Amino acid sequence: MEPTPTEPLRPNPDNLLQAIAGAEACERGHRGRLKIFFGYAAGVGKTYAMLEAAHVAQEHGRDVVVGYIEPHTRPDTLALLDGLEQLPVREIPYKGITLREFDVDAALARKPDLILVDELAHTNANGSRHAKRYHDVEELLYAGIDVFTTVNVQHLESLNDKVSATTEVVVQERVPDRIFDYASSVELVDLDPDDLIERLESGKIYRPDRAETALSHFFSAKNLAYLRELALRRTADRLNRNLERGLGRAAGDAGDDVLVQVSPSPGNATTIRAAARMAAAYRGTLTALIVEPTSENKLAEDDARALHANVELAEELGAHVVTVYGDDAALQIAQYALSGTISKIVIGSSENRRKRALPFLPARETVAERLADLSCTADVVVIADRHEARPTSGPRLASRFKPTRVDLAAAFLVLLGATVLGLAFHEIGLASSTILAIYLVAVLLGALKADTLVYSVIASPLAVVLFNFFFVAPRFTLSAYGINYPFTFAFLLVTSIVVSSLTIRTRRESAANARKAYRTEVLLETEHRLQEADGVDSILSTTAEQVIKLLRTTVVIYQVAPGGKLLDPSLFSSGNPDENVTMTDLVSEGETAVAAWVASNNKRAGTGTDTLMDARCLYLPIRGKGGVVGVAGIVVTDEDLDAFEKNLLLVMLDECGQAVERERSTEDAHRIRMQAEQESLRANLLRSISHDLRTPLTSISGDASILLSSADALSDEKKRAIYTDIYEDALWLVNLVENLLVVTRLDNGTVSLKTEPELVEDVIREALHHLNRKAALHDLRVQVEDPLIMAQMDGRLIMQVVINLVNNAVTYTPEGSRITVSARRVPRGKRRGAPGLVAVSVADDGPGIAPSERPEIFTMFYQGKNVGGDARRGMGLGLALCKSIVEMHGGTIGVDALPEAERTDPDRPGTVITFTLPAVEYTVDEGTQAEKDGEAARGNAASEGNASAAAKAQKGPAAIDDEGSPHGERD
Amino acid sequence: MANATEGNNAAYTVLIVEDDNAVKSLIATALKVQGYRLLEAGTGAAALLEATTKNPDVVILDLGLPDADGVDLIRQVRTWSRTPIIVVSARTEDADKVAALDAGADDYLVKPFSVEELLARLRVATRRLAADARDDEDGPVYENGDLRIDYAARTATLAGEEVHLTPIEYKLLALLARNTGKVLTHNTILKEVWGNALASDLPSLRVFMATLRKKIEPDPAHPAYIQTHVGIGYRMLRK
Repeated sequence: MEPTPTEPLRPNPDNLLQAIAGAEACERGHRGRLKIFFGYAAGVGKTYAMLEAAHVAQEHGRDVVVGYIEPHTRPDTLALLDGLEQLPVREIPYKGITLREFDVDAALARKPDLILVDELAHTNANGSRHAKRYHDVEELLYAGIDVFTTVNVQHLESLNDKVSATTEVVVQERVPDRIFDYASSVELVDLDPDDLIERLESGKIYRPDRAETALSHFFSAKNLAYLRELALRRTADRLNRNLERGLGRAAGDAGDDVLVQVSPSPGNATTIRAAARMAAAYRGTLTALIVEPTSENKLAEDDARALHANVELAEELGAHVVTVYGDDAALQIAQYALSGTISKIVIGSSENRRKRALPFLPARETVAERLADLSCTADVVVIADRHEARPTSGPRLASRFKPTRVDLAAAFLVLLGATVLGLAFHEIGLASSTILAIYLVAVLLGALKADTLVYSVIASPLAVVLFNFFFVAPRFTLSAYGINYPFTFAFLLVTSIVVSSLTIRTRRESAANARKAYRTEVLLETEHRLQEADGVDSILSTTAEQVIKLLRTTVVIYQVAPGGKLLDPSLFSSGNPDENVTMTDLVSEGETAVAAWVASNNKRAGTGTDTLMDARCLYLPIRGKGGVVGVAGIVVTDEDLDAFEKNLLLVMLDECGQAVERERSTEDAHRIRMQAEQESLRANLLRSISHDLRTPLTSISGDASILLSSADALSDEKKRAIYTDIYEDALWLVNLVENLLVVTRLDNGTVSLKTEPELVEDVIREALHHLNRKAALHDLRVQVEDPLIMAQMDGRLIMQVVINLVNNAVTYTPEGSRITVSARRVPRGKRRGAPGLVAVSVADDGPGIAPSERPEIFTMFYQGKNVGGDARRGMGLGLALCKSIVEMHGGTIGVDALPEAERTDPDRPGTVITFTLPAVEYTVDEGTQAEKDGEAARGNAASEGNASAAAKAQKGPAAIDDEGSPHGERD
Repeated sequence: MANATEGNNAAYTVLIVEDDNAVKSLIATALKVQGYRLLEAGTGAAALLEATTKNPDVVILDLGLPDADGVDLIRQVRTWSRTPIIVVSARTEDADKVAALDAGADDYLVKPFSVEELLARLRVATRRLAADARDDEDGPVYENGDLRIDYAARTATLAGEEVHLTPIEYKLLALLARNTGKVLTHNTILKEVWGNALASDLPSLRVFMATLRKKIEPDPAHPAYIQTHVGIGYRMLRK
């Protein structure tokens, strides 16, 4: 199978360069570099070497800080601390003593170039942020701080078993190999074992009393030689692996991919480690397969925990974890191996032996043998894991035989039926063999419905007993003759057990498949719904709903702003009473802090992880390409998520992250376009404004100077004309200022749009108070279909739209023209039930606009050709502003001619400008009273306020009408 | 007609707080013509001094003073006085107006404003003073034009005919009547009538206001009693 290269593969220099460049870019970008001082035992001088290197770095001008040095360090080593800045340690009270721990927060706050953290494999005290010191180190690296650290060979995860097997000392504190392999550099600190023993004996490593114990146990010459060899080999190995990374994997040179089964058995960890070593050695991937039984029975709690631990170990070792469903592990493994590129299957010896079906049966064939039978082409490697086969878990077997009510009822009913039928047949003289067949059929029919095997166990003997009692001579006794009886019994029992176990299995498998199908369905649906979601909030809430569907747990989602700031959380309750959480707990300060940590470190944290595990939720980052866009908190109930659920969850969150990112880039693009538009709007505005301001200002100042210099020479009539001119020009300036203010508000983008539900009629009427004085000379009407029409709007801005539209109509139509402002509800699009729109129209019966010019009128600075005497007044700003304002409200604006029926003169097509706004549907909580009123109102809705509206408008802009007439500006 | 009111206006002292001399002199001129007695202040400190010592009947206050925030000034004055305050401001954001009104101002005007508009607002304020003097608006019966409210019986009549109001409509009407001449913000109304200031109740407020107007306004299209201030709130006018 394996390709044999004709010549030894050499690292392709280009690939190497690329890999180095990539690694450097990555490191330079934001990640710190890790240097490991690697030794084979305590006392070889790792810390000493590290401190020396720190001094060198400091001399080179780097900002070096000592984060943590073990306090039992040798005096001559401690002397090297002189001249280096030391961070204070964190002191944690623990059972009456004080534990000293590295303070990762202090280190992050200090943020040096380089920090020294001794003993990478250390396990942190309870209450620390991370479970392990290497997590602290990873966080420092993530924050862009370089780290020097020390580690001994026996602490490497993959070598753990080998070390404990040889030295018979179990090492609890372990570091994943990836940390070691991906470190920027590893310096092997070596010392001859004899020298080490000499150092030990002279008390330089441990106090004399402890040195003796150490010598006799761990520090035997044999052990040290072995450990040294391991360390040297592992260092060389690492170099090879890094070289291979430069090589890349040529297409034909696929490594051997390794598959290992993950199970709760105690020996499994050893097997997984062996498989990981093998995958590394063969340059292949590692797949960890969980074979989940199809029965509904949950694993016992201990087993579930052991399985979880083993899954974590596999993940830590870089395995891809996959869950499959089925009761026959060997079959599932074989099928998975066949469907993939798996070439090696690793099985622990305890897993290999399969439990006997029943104690008296011969041992069944091993998993390896089964795999061979299943024509599995992969190599099967059995690892001696020195553990007994896992005892069959009690509850599972027991539950198979626990009777359910359905079973008992089924047994009772079929036997009753069979007996009644049998008696009837007996009456008509059928042979007892036929009657036996009836019992057989009845028992089998029952087996199809039964939930557990107990049915067969009960029903079969009962059937035999009943048959014997009713139909075997002597009838109505339990005594029988002949050798038939035991055979009949055995025959019935076996058939019935076979049938019911087959049906039970089929049913369970289909249930498991249904469960899996449901989850896959949820995923597909998520994809679909995310595509339809509109806006970041909607994407996040859709994701939360889907997660709830998948896991039935409450979800908290934090959005992370592009700058990395955590926004307020949204809670999505599952309504699951088992969770036993109060909503305020979930968004407490502590929980939010965990989410914030996840957001800034782009790593999971919270319960079930190694970081901040006291949290109530499991927090997962929602990642986009550019970083964390959100954090999802999931309330994990008593049991952990299984691997399949976890994978689905991660896929869903990824989808969500991508959707959010897409949405944000769309929003960005939109914002940039808006900004560009506003820029050009402002530029054009400034250009035209000087002209537009100058004209009325010239007339005002000119008129005023005439009055000042030669008032006496002017007739009263002439003076009045000049006063009127000044006043009108000033009013025009006021209106211009209003529009300019709107422009400055638009300048701030959508942020300043403060929309509220407003009664459309109120806004229209208010707008009509602020019209151009010329409006008084027109026939102004208001027609509002229903006075209760409400729309979501910024009232001020929409007022300005109406003012501009009516003023525009006034400007472009001759005196006496009819101008109608109307509002009505219109449905939005074709979809039923979608919230409606409100359409507001301003119609005039003037000369109209040629169809070819219609699209032009909303562009900035466009002016109509047929303008009356006020031509100088048009700067064409008004309609363009209307368009911007309406579009910011999510509405549209358009222009048309009057419908023929409404024209007053066939030669004047008129103009109708209509804009839409989102309608507000409201319900009134005071009975049906408002409804009745609404109906009553509709009767006189189309108010004919033409005459009085015109009269009102006459009073000039913003006149407050509390008296009969305005004050004497006119007569 | 202006002359007709002149004699009455002499009874009122108006404090003008404005740091811009041109605007101050414009207001002063316009008010003098109408016969009001005037006090002037250019800073917040001077305004407080004038307000406490001279006890003006109406205050016209510019929000943008050199030494004080106008809204704070309103709050201070409101701790001991019900003197009508009309805010004049160049700030155009609705939020500023609402803040001033919520702090206790009675009315607001945005620059540029017309003189007759200012005079109209002043008349609203002085009428309120006259009504206060005549019968306290907190008294058992409220009368305004054809509208009459009997607070004890919780009924309203229009030209002698009873108006059938729902409980909420009545509460709205009574609230506006008790504050005749004062612009009440949406927030204030929601708090007083609905018991909270949830924006989600705003549509209800609009609907009830529309139905209320239908019942008491002779011509709902041109309200004579209840005035709408778009984006701000409502006000009961004295007829």
